[in-house]
Amino acid sequence: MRPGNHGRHPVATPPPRRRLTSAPRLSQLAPAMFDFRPVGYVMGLLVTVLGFSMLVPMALDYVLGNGNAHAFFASALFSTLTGGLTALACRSSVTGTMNMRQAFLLTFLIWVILPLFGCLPLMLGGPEASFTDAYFEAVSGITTTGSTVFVGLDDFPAGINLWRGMLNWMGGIGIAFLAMIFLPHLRVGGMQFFRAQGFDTLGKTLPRAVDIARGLLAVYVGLTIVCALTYLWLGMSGLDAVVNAMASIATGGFSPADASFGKYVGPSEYAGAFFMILGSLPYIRFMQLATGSAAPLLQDVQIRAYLLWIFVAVAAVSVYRLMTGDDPAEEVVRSSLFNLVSIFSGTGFFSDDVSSWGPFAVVVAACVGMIGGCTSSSSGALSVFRVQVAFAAIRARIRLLHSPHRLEPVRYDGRTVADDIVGPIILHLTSYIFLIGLLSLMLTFHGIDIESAFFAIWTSIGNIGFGFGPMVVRTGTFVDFPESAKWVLIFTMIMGRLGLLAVLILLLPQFWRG
Amino acid sequence: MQDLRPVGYVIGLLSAMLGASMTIPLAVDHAYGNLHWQVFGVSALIAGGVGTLLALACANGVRDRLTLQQTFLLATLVWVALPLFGAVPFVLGATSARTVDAVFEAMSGMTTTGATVFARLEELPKGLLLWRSMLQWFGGIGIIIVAMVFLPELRVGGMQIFRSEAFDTGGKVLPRAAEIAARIAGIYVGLTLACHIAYVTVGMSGFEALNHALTTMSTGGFSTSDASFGVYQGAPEYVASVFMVLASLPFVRYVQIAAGSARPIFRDSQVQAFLKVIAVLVAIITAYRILENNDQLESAFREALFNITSIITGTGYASVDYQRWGSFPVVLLFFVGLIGGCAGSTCCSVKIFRYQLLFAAVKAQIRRIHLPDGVFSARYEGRTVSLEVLNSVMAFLGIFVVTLGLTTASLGLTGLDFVTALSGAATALANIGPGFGEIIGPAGNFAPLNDSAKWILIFAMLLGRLELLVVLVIFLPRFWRV
Repeated sequence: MRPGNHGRHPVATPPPRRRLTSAPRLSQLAPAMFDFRPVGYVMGLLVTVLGFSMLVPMALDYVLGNGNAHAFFASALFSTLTGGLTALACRSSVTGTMNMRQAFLLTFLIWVILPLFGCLPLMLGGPEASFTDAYFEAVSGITTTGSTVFVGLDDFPAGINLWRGMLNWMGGIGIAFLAMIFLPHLRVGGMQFFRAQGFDTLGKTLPRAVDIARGLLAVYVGLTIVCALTYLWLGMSGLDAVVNAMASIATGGFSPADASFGKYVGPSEYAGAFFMILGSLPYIRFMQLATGSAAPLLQDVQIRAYLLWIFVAVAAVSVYRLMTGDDPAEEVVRSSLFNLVSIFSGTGFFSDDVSSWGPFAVVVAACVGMIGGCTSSSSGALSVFRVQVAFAAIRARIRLLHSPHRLEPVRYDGRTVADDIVGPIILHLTSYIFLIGLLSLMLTFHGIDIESAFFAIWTSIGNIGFGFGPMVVRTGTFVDFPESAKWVLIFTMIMGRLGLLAVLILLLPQFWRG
Repeated sequence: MQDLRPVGYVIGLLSAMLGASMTIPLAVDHAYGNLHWQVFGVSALIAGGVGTLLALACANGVRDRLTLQQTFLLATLVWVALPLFGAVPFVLGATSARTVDAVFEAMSGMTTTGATVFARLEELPKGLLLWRSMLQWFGGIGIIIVAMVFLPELRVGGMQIFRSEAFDTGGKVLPRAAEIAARIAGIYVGLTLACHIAYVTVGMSGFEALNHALTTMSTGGFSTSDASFGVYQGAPEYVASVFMVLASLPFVRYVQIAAGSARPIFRDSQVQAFLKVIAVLVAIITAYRILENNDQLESAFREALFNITSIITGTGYASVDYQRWGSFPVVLLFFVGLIGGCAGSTCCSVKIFRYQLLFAAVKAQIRRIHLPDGVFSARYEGRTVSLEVLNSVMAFLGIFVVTLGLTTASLGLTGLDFVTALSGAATALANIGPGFGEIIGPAGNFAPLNDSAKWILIFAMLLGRLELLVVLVIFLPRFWRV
């Protein structure tokens, strides 16, 4: 570092990129201004796509003739028009590339603006929800959280339940895409580790982003169809099978019934657990499997650790329950498996009241929920990868204490993890826990008791969808929370979904300056 | 295998000294005409005898230098052996405690936690009350010396940034420890006397003032009555707040003041941050109580100041049941306990400087995401913090959180409810004292917990006091290989 630099200013600033055009443009006259147009263009396109997708539940409600189709029609019309016009208006400056700041803004806006349109059918049709409730539900859907503010789901028009499932499903593929292609380049929370790896291992077979997206879509759709057929075969009604399948693979957790999977205890729980686990594995491995190589899937240390930890958690809770209660063994194992996998993968289905299993089960649930599934899946929370690296770093530090002059690199999967990846990961971990504290504090300010507040934040920031505590016990939803608290949760879900720093960076004044 | 003799020698000496110090409560009980003094006689003989024998047996292996491994072992064993000897009077004496309770109380004392398993303290013999306070006082000065001499040397949790400070005597740990101990002891005794006089001035009896002075300066928190500071509402709360804050500032600054330079203490960014945090927290709680609960300004301010200071410094006195203030203050107080005081004081918990370093690192990291090609480094007190220090701090925070989670889970496994388990784990690891919930809240005590929960808490207190890593490193298999 140069003397007198004081760490405030970067030594090497990348030269501002100028486009060569004949006529001077606004962006050249005022270089410090942010060019929103590429962001607006992509947003417009996505909103249009969302609008078209509303035609699916519209068709369903129209066929069923339950009088709810008009809500979807109006929403679809409004979304496609607004989206299309925005895209057209911003089209002029699209060059095919985006700078770093635009990419950050885009990721954030996708998860803020799409729910704005996604919540329209919930306000206009079936539940006739208030804006806060509808937006909460849509954010919870698109972030694949799965917390709900609605009671009486079973009586909702079929289209609304399908739409909720679709929000989950689209949010799931959105985040998987983002995690594989975007985040590694934005260097958020140590994801740059996968920058090399993700593309190296895929390098020859699937070289470009478009190909990755296509492969991802195929895997995602394929898994969802298999899941839906399995559910159908196990006896779910058609709508329930489709919605539950979409919510399982997206690790979303929106169910078309108030009782969630409590409606389908038995073999469906095993199937649900299986597909939730599949939904929280790195999709890239399935893509490799599709091209014929199963080895990466079987040898992935992250997957191995994830499965091992699931096994340990389920075994511990089952043994605990068997020792403290007298339920039949099969039922205990089955419900422990289903509910813990649902929490671990960040899905949020439930088939039993976990808090009735005793304090130990709740603590285990709290821990596995904070870990979450694998990276580059639709799962949220810290992710197995980050926890593994943090443990490796801690182990290396303790060894260093013992022998300070030895080299103790942090190792993951046989590779040395560079310091500039370990640092952000541990930072992510600490800020995650710090934010859980800070945000639950904010919730208690709205008059919510400690336990409900903690778990509400825990479930939102990890995109889980499971509720604990006195305020959620009555109906298993967040319907009893005050409006202001719901907004805190909305913000938390979005922040949890995008990785904390990706949101916090938007609050930095320097971000908006040139 | 390590050469354990130097470790045994120091432990022996310290145990013998602890035994000798038992003559003070012995004298007190004797003076009050209480036959209970015999208990201290027997205990003193046990501790003194075993300690002396151990020291003699190990005397031939003593050198000026300790190896790294011996230093780790010594620090841990001091906090294992001394509480065991310190627990003897609780087993033999008026409390006739079971082993687990006696060890819990002594460990809570030596680690300056202040969680108690004894109820109806007012009825205990005076000597026994004094002994509890003395344990905390010894624990307090012990940890200052460890924090100033050993931890920077051991590079524990980022403490190496204090390495070059003030006392660089060239690696000879034991002579250096003795020298620092002498200087610190003078200041520690002086502050305790001042605190005692201040307490007497605001109306405590001589005996109560002495006990509370001992436990205030060590940020310990044992009191002479079940109601803790509830019996001294008013002026004593202000006095106690001042001395609790004084006890949680870096003691090296007092040494500098004694040497004639007051500037370092005013320019210490750790001290500034600590005072700012207290001011902000007190303002928030006071405002909340006035606006939400319509409380009086003076009492709201005083109670907020006293109880927040008590928790942030890890003392653990309570003057009111602050759980009645509402759920927002309770959650806030929970996190306040995880802040802790300054490094190099009697405080425990995460400590202010680690948060300062963490924020510096977050700031640098956000800038780095924003401008990937820039060079940004975390800065503390105007200096660039090396990556090694940052990594240690992060690893410490990581271990703290993991340990908190594991302790909570194991407490949950013994059947405690979630709030009790979590706050119990936090209060033990951060060496605060009271937890939250109906059992271990400020109005209750730890007696009703089951034995396994108590053992878990005993271990957690030990871990927390020695900055976790000092103890954990001993469990490395390669630690025992040479």
